[in-house]
Amino acid sequence: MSAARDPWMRLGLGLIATLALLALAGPLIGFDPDFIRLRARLLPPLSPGYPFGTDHLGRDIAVRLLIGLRWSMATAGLATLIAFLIGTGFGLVAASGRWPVAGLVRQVTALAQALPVFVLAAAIIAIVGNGYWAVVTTLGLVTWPVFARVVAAEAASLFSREYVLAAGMMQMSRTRLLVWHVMPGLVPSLAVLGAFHFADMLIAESALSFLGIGAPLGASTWGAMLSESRAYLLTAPWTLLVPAGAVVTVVIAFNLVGDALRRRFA
Amino acid sequence: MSGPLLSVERLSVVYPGPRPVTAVADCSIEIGRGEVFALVGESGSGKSTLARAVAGLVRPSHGRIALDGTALEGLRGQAARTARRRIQMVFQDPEASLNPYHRIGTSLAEPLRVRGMRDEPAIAARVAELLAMVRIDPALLDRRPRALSGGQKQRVAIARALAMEPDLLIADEALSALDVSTQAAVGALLRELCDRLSLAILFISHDLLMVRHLADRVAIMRGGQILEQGDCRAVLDAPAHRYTRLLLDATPDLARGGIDLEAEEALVDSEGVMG
Amino acid sequence: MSAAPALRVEGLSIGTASGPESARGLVHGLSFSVAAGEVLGIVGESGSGKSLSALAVAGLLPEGVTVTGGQISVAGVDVLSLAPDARRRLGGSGIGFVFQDPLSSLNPVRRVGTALIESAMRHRGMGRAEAQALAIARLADMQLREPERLVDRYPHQLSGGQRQRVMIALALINDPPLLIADEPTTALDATVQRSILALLRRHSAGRGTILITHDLGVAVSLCDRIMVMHEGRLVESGPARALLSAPAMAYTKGLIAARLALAGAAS
Repeated sequence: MSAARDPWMRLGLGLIATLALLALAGPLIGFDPDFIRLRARLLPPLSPGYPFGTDHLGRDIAVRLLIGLRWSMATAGLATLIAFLIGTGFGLVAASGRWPVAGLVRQVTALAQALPVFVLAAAIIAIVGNGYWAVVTTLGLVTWPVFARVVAAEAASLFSREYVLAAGMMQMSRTRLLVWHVMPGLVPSLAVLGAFHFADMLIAESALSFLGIGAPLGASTWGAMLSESRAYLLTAPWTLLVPAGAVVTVVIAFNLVGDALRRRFA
Repeated sequence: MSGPLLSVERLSVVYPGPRPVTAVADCSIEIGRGEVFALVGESGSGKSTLARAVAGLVRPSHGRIALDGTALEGLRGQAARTARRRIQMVFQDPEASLNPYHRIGTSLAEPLRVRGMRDEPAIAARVAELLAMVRIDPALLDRRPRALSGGQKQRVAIARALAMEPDLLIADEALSALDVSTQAAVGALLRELCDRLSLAILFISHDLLMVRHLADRVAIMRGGQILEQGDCRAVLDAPAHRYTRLLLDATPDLARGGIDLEAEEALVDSEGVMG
Repeated sequence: MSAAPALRVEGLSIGTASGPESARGLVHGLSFSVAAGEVLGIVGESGSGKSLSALAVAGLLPEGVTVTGGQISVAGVDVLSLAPDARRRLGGSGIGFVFQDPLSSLNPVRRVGTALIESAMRHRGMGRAEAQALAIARLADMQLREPERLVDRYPHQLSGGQRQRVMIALALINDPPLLIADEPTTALDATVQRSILALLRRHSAGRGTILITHDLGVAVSLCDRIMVMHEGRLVESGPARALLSAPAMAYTKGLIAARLALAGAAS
């Protein structure tokens, strides 16, 4: 109820809904993002037929942005989902403390957390080769400890909550205790973390594409657009600023929602 | 069945670590059916740890806890679960005692389902019965805990414990967080349930006035040890131990016109602030 | 100036801007005063408005809650008409405030003496050495052992009772005409509560003291006068012993009976 009244939450959700719709509708508009018109090179925004202008090969920036949005949202979303699933699973095992693997999981999580995430992701992709699935699985696989740490801490504190102790005294099974009493209590922090993580993953994906090890070469992704436009920063700044603005917009949208959720649950 | 319901024999609880802490040292108590037994002490006295050991939430280091003469420690599997279900607990913080995501009806039906009840009309009937027992308006069944007052939440927590049909109910400072008039009402409810259901109640409290009102027998704890125990009135009217006297003098008893602050020892407290 | 009471509150109303219209008023037209040397107990259950009234006097109302009417004067100074910075100065030297939880009101990363010394330097214009000497003297007044060592300790190294004594020393460092203690002993053990109350009694001479409590027994032990609040309104007030032995209002009778019934069972 209060979330619906929070103007920042509404702004963030509105932005995300619009972006998601655009991402889904992107391919339906039927324009080719790779269509090159050398006669229409480096047209500024608001030129007739080109709301965001064109790049150095005369490609429509608006169309490329739309296709890139789809890629970015899909990568960040799936990477977040993978990190969430692995991290939550490991976090619950670590917090439950009963199973003998708990200690091992705690060690692995601590170790994984100490690794430099981005460098590790770049190194793995450099070895296994780039592409959608490589980027998604790598980002998910190197960032799950964030979820594991939060879930382990939260679940451990929930396990010592009075209502969970009371349920334990009914000799309820541990699985039921986990599903029925502990997991619903994790939803608030996981929602907040998920929103922020999505934004992080989007930035990470753009950075990988910028370095040329994210999307396949030539694909229209925001990172690639940024990378290709570097040379035109002074002569045609929009070629750089438009995709940069797109990244910032999505990141802000998810941060707004994450912040609003945190305020609500605090 | 003439023996005590619960007997705790020479129980010690040591928290391990680089510097092990002995929270409970060599404590023995016995509680019979239909009896309210109060454990009294200040913070760090070990009263809550002793209660949690009885509840099975803390593992004892030494000693024996027996229900109807059967040691709980030795039981395994189904036998252990069956015995453990006979001990239920009500906690201090009304805000944390109920799952905030569950409606009151769900919280009360849960223990019935755990015990294997499947017949929905029978569950509903039993929930209504439990609500009547703790005098909660059935209209609150569909509410979530945050819509209830502190006293109502504690009543629901008591009803949930009763749903397991326990023989021993542990109330760990269960009244401390409530308003004064609510305390009196919930305290009276505990006493009534004890008498009506032949329930044994282990009442953990720092409030000597409430203890004197509710309890049949009392044990005074300090530093993990039981200093003295016995009939409630006997101990509180003629304490054998100096510390019990100190506690009584510090009790804001309206009948005596409050605490005597003019006395020489008023400035000294159990933390020994003044030399 | 000396004729003015330590605190005079007239027609104080407190409200919040959010929530349903009917629930916006929190305190309604409260009037009372505290004379120098007097200890007033404000007794009530949760939601009675006792703490809000005290916070309003000290200018410490939480965000979204405001004074909607009435007058508050501390030692003859109308505090509601003061500019914000003058109000802050008053908060530092005119009113001492002791909260329920000393651990959360002391900065965990700063030494115990720091706040005392800084307060004396800021509000009394003392030099560091002089302020340090005053801080040590105040801690000694609070029956704390080895005050010259205590100033260099951190809050977590102290017991709950010691921390509350430090808080009282901090509240009294600039000799304020008014001391407000909001449930100062609720988080403490009974024996510690007794010693803290005895300490407050000792230091009540010459200034107005207000004790906010839910416990009538505590109020009767310390206070000269007691006022009972319920749902934002004054129920009744009077000399402590008289109020206890002959309460006029049903609500007060109920509060007293709830505690007396416990004691009565024993005799």
